[in-house]
Amino acid sequence: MLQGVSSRLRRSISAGALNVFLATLVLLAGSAIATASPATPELEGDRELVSSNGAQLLSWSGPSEADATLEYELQESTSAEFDAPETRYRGTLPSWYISGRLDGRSYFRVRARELSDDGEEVAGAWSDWSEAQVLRVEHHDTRLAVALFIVGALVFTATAATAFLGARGSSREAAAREEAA
Amino acid sequence: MTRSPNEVAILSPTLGWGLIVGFAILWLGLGLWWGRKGKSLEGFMLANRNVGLALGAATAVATWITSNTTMLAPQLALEMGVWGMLSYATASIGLLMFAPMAKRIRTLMPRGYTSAEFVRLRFGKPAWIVFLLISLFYALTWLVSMGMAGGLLLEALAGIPYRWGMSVILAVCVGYTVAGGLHAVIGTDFIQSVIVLIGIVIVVVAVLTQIEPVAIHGALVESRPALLTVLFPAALMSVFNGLLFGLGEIFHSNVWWSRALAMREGVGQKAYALAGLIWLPVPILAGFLGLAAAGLDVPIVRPDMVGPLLAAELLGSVGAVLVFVVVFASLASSIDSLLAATGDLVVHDVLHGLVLGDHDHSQKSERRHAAWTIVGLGLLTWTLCMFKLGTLATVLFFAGPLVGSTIWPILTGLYWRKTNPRAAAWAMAVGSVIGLAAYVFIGWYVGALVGTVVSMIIVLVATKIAPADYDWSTLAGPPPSEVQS
Repeated sequence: MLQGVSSRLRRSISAGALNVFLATLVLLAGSAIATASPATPELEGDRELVSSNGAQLLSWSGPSEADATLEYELQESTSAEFDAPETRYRGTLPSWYISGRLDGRSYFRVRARELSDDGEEVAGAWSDWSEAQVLRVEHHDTRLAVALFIVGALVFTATAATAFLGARGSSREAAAREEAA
Repeated sequence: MTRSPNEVAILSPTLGWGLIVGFAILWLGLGLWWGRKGKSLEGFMLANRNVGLALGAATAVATWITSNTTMLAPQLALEMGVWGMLSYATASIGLLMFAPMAKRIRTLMPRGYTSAEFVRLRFGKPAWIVFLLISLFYALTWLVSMGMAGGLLLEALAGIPYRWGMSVILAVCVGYTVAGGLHAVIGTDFIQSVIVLIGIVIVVVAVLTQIEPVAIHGALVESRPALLTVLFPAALMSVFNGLLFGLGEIFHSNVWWSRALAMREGVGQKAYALAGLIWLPVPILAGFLGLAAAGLDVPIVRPDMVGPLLAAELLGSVGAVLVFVVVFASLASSIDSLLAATGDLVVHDVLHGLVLGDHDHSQKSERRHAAWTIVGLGLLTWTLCMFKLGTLATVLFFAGPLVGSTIWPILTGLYWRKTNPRAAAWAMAVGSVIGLAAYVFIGWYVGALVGTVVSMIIVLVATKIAPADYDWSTLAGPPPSEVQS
């Protein structure tokens, strides 16, 4: 009987140890997965960017301590809550150039994850989304632009006319000199 | 590990270095070969004033197709759309308008050396000093923008570190310019212009076979609508700004004056007119790459690299090699011209005109100083290029207000006897300051326009109030090193 108790106790201890071992493994694995998720990247520059020509270079910095190459995802939305966001860029470069935008506000955020050395995805998780950056496009006043266009056209016309008349005058002078000679 | 924004190499560094070494040997060899004709001062600075039509037109085309044309034109199209592309193309008008001026310059100054010499003889010392400051600053911004372009190109296409690539390109250009003077510059320009023109046509045709223009148009309408808008405010402002900037660059810069003075009598006008016509389609072709990249949503990490990156992305390593060769040739053709022409300004006007004065007039010493000055300019450019100063556009367009302010003094100085000389100095100084203010407070796309307008008003009003009566024969006199003002 004692042997039976002893045997059950051993099994019980073994099962307990196994449980502890398995729990430790789960914790370690969880910890490993947690380290596969890099720190959150940051969008560089002011929180609110203003562009008067609809163009802007967005750039961001990843965590400097990361060993593997990072893949980034850049999202854009028209709302600060990122309702119906659209992915604008997914790749390993830390910037994206915007141009040709009309007046309006857009919100951007970026996140990162690690890639393995051969560029394939690791089962690691994405980082949290960065703090949002706002791009406010406010084109110059169209009336100002048209006015400057007209001023430019007038100045150019005056310059071209002066050059043309000057060249014609000097040609006539040269012809007259030759004739006199 | 975060990648650098410039790490998008398509060529291997080994292939990149191989291309660089091959071109370096070619240009340096040609420089030494042509250098045999540049022993005298006139030979070194002005190719013995005997440049014919073919070489004259080719050197103007090659010099005007800078790295800015092949890299900045796509950027402008990407940023300003169709207007941006057309705006850059208007720079050809500068060459066309300079054609009759080249004839006039050659006639008025048969023994002249530099554009600054014209300003000194025509308007006197105050205008001369203002002009020298503007001209040297402009030349330096142009040189720096091209040195940067070279470094960026090699880094982007071949993974060669920026500082190494930039240093090698500058060293090669300094080497063959010192060895051969204007003979080498013009000779290599001819070859480089042929390479660039053929290369650009091949790249654009090859890109066109890979894409659907209609699809690109649709994508632009969807994602970058302002690029196709007629009333795009910044683009509207930039159209005449770009045009006037181009006029200012050509009218004042010694790069163009030294060629006008180096061409045989009767050649200048035809050569510049021909060059303008050949150059006109180049920025349109290059700008198309920018629009195509925007339509295809190619990831763009630096807007000034959009053309090369698109060609490399669509055409693979062949496209990358082609772009590499085209941009390398366009870079070299402009850097050498600027080194030679700016060296002439520094030696002829600053060193022998201002510093040495009456002490040293011999042509032999001026020839020696010219070579050392080119080395010094190369070193200065290299030092400034070590700090990447913004994008190519911001570096170059900073000089816009300054060169715009020189248009009316130069133009009326060449054709009008009555242009007030003091007004010329004030026009350049005040036009530059107010134009720079507009550049800072409104944007780069109005700087040259404002500088030109202010300068024009000052010249016109002052000449109306106090007209002069200039004797043109003064310009035909000996160079400033022999007659001090």
